[in-house]
Amino acid sequence: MPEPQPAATRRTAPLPDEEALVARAVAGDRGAFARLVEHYQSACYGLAWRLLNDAEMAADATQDAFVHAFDAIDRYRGGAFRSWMLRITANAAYDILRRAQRRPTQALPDPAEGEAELADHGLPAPSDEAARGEMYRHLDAALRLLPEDQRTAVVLADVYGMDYHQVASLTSSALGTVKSRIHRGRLRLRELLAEQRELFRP
Amino acid sequence: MMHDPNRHPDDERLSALAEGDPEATADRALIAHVASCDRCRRTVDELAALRTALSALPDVTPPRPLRLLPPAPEPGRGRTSLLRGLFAPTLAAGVLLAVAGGVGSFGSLLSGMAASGAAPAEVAQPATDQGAVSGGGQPAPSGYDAYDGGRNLATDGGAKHGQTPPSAPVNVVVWPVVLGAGLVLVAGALVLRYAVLPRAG
Ligand SMILES: [Zn+2]
Repeated sequence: MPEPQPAATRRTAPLPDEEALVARAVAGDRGAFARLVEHYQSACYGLAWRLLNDAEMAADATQDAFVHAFDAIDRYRGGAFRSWMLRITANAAYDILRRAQRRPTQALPDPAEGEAELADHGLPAPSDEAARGEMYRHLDAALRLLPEDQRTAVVLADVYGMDYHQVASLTSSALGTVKSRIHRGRLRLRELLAEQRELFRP
Repeated sequence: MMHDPNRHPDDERLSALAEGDPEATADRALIAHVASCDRCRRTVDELAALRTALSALPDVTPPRPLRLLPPAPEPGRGRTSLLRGLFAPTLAAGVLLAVAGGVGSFGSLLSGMAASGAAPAEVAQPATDQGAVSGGGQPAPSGYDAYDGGRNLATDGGAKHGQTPPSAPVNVVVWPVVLGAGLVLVAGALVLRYAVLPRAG
């Protein structure tokens, strides 16, 4: 493996007593807040990592998101706690992205290098579970090769299920621009994954 | 946006169709083309499968432990806010004592100078006013103490003035002490608030 693979976990399901925990956290219970944040930390980190393409920056963004969430928890107005945490994480990641973009040394990954890496992954293992893991690794590797504007739009909309208005406001872009980035990003992903087509059989 | 049946629609339209965008699903020409074109139907199917796969991408464990909570408020902070809370009551108590003591001192000075007769009535008047004023403005428990003390002393003084001149030497000592204690409290409160606490915070 040319670069360390992230430790993947399945998508985090809501906690059984989540509503009560959220109510306690909103009322100022630090223990309840810590439990919620701990539960969703890999959801938040996954989003930050896919937005930023960088493990260290993603950990910083997730840490910032926890602090922002703690400051904002008394203004929490219902809805899924996971979505709320993810929006805060996306904002924190964008703050870090903008700061990084002001430094000119930040180099984009070389797409050709990445394509070679993608081809190296080989054939899927026989079991369904392993094949799914293989598919996800291909998918993340391909996402990393997208131009940043397409990647962030696809990550927010298709990976994390945000609606296009939310994506537009998070990325400070027009709605039409967001849609076009998402479409172009998906089409580029499909090209990049052409050799793994059998993994994405409908 | 017109679709020539012999020409493939733009791929972005196929992506919109793959996600069920109502504007694309209402486009009859687009639907008709996809239904009759293997290439475009395959693209739509693959894009839909891609979306399904994207929406199932797993969460990722952070590479290092993250702090779940900001640091808890330190005990020192608690003491500071306790001291901060003491400021207003201490200042109020000090002001009340100082005013009571000042008025009392002034009164006993007058009664000391006047041998007897009309003076007691004049002295009793400010002492009663003082009781009314402090009764109206007692904000906190320690202000209460000061108020009670001030009034007791004031009525004591007034009663003694009304009775006999021999009590005058006692008042001459008590009222300045009350005045002094009030001034010390006021000064202490101000020092605490503006000299000690800013550095502690
Ligand atoms: Zn076609």
